[in-house]
Amino acid sequence: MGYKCIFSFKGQLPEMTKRIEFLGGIKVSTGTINCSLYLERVPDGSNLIPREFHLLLYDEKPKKCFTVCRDTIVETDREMVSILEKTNSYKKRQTTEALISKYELGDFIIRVGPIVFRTEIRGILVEVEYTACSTPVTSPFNCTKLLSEFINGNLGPFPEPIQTSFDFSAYPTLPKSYSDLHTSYQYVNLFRTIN
Amino acid sequence: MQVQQPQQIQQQHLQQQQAQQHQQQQVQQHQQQQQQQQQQQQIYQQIVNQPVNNVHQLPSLQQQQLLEQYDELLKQVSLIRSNVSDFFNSFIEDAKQQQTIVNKEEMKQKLKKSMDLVLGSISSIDKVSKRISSYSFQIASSNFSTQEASWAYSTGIYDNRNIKVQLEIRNENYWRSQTSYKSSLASSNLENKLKDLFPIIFQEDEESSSLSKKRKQISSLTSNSLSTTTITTTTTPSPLFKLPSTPPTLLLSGTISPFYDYFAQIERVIHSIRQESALEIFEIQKQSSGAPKGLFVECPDVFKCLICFGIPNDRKDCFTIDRISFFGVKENFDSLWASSKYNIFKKISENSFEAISYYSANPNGGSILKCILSWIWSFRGLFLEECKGCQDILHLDSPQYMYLPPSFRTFDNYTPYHPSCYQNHLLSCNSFSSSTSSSIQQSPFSPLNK
Repeated sequence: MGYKCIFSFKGQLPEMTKRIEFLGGIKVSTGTINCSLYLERVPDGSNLIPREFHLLLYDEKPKKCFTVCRDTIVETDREMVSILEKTNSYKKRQTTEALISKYELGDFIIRVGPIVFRTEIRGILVEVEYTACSTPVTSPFNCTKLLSEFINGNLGPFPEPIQTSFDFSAYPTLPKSYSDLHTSYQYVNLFRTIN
Repeated sequence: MQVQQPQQIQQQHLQQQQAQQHQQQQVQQHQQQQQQQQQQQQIYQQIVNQPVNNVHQLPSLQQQQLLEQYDELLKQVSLIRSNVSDFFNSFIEDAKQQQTIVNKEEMKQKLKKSMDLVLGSISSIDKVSKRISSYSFQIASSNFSTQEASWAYSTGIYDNRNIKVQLEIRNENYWRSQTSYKSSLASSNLENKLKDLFPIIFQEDEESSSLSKKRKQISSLTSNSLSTTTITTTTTPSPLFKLPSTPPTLLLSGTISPFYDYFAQIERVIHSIRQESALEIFEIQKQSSGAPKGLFVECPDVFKCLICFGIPNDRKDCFTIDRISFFGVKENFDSLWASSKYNIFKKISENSFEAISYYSANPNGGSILKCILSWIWSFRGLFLEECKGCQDILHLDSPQYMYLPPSFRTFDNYTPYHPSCYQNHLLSCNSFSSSTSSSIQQSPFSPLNK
């Protein structure tokens, strides 16, 4: 897996797809990204603070789901969803969904689609991945500069420059190399700002 | 008196008839007696026709030969029996298999084959019997009548089921022949009636037939034209194969004697490179003589590559560098000849051939392998360094490779360039040098840096 940068585009979806196709992108497939917020069921009258976490599901990984908690990010089996439903220990509060289209542009992979929250489109999700680079996140030889040039120079222009570097220090247990756990963290942060 | 006369006449007639019958019986008895006498005479003749020679008087060798002749005779007789049974089975085989269509040609072939075999057996029996006639009784068919009957019953020729099948076949063939004859008559009659009643239909049919003929002619013409076009396309010569472009240094220097590295110096070269850079180097596929087939080089967190060695035929203690393949850090490869799935590493692998040819011709007094490894180490900032020509990281290389970071490094000081930017740089340097009046020749690779 390469390094990814995820941001929200405030314009219209056809505008972004036209830019990608103009650069030479080829549409490969479609899918969805589902992010659900689960809240712990606390007995009535208790003073306990309910715990919460985000559960992410990707169509490209049908057997996996990713759980983003307060202090850790975990990759679990898809059966976690049914376990939560059967145990009834957590309640699903809200769901954010992104209907994405996947484009291939050389060594770049671009995923773009609308973000839907409560039947309303809250923005356009854009995910840019450079597959050839597998350097660690904290390495000085990573491709954040390259991605910044591609996003702001080729996909852009944007009203404000897109920030390609991301701070993952809040979760020290994340692996050294970029992985789906890093992607999940970026998605949760993006959806929080939208909601 | 008149009533008595017809009765008398009837009595006379009856008496005459009885007399005639009696005479006939007497004649038959006489004939039977004659036949019996003839048979007795025949038997007597058979007894009289005993063998001329006796077997017991012959030597043992001749007796053995006679026995072999008798065995051959019996063998031929058994063949006759089997072929006769095949002959009859060929008629009813199709019916036994419940086939609606009778293959007449196949049946004829089978019948002919069995007949030929039977006739051959009979001729061989005649030959053998002539040889042994003087030592045996004469053969008469009347002696084997009972055996023939038992044989016929045992082979199933007179089986009720076979007889029934034969009758069904006969009825089927009769029905088919009659039906075909009647249908042919009916079709001819119908055609004549239609011609008499509707003459226009047959005229239209003739016109349609003429049109179909014209269409066939047109299609044949088109097919001929298509064949001619195909012939012309095949006869056109294929474009000449374009020769690969050679580096200018090779062209300028003319004939170049190749330089080789020694296997004995590999360890020293690797040690020096490890001190100068952070490359991780491993020898791969060591042979029995201790010479490796190549090197596995990894630039931490950026890329890895394979260097393949080639051994000259005349010198086994030396090696040349044949190929360098670049891969991503987490990319797997199956063999020394694998290629990367990422465009940037494919591009660098292609550019490495130019580097190999340059350093093989210009080792700068050192090791070719050391120069190559230093050149590989210059790609450590592949995703970070900007091109010195266009001052950007990404550039549209080609519709195949799309946007790539700088994939070219100069061979003397390892400056990053996009290939197209480097060509533009060379062109600008050449124009600048041509415009100036100085006669000093500069290096084509990095004149400004010097």
